[in-house]
Amino acid sequence: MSVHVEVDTTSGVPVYEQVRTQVVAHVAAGRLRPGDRLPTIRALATDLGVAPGTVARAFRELELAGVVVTRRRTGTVVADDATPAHDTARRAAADYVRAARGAGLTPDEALDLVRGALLT
Amino acid sequence: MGLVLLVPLAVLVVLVATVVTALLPRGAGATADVETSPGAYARARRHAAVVAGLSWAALLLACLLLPEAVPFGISQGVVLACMPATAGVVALLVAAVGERTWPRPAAPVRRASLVRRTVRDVAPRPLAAVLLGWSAALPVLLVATGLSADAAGRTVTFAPDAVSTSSAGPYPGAPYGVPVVLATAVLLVATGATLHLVARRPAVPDVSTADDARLRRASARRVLACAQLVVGGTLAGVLLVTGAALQRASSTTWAVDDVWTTSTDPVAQAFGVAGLVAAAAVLLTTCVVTGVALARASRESAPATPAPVAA
Repeated sequence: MSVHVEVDTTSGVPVYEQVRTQVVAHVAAGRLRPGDRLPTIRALATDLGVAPGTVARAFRELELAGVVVTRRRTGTVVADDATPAHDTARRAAADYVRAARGAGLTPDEALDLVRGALLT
Repeated sequence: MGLVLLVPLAVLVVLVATVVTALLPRGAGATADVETSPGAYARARRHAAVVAGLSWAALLLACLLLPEAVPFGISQGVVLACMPATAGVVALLVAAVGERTWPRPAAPVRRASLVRRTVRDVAPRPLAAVLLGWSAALPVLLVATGLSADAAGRTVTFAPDAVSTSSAGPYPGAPYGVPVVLATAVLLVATGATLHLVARRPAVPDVSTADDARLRRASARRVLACAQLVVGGTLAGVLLVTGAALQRASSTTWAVDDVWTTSTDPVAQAFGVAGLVAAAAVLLTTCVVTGVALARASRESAPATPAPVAA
């Protein structure tokens, strides 16, 4: 399965934040593993049609959070200590997404349900 | 001269490409991907085809026009020897400009893969190996001919017997070899730069990562096909000139009191024949590889499902 980021330039959420949260989500879900190499800033910016500074800011914040590290030879890679979420919780999340999609919920509606559950 | 050599070459390439296109299974390696918009994919294929067409047209035109522009003189042979590489650089330049003209994402919602793309991901290894093989063989051959050439570097001389010598040229000594190696090095750098652009161009909007990768591989295949044809053609040309010179210089005929004697250096003659046979083999191989590569590029990027008819 290929790992993607999707940004909405009309969203109120800044593009760099959308990139940052999605990379964090991929790491938490185990789709990005420690040592995985991310695209270069320029390549990702070109693919997304955004300024390189936007992607650079997302990567900088990810680096500050310890999710990725930038090495001179290999570029930006997922940090060794960036481990995915607890296995049971990860499987439950995947099961929930499948059920929500099966029920025809939109991503926002599915997230609202999770937020509601977290309030209990 | 250039036209005479190019016409059968072009015919052979087109013939091989046509045959291989007919024989290969349609849609081989293609994966149906629900994320791809057939219209967007068809437009991307058209763009890639136009870029490739212009690039190959530039190669053909440069091969046809450059020899006519070379003035007669002592440097004519050197310029002609560098002509394939020069034409190749022109073709790669056109391909590079084409890679810069892919449409950039403009829709509000945009996707990008988080997998790093490198030249190794887009360049087919067998084709790259063929290019590197030709590129390694060419300087080795030119060093050998440079060492065996006369002091001036334009002829080769043998003494088949104790009383006579025989010289023949043109022979690819240092005056030919150094510019050819330099021109080939420039071509290889241009190839690498163009492949880099293929890997780094923006992802095609509304096309899945797998289909975008297929378009990139097809572009890289066409670039490598062009480069290996140029280097292989240059190698074949050098082998042809070397073999012909060795054959002519291997024999000498002389007369004493109307008694004619022909002496032959068997080693030189064997090398001459080997050079001519190798030239034909390299030319045939590079043409077949080009035809197969172009056909595979076309098949590789063929849509798994028919594209919709444009309104």
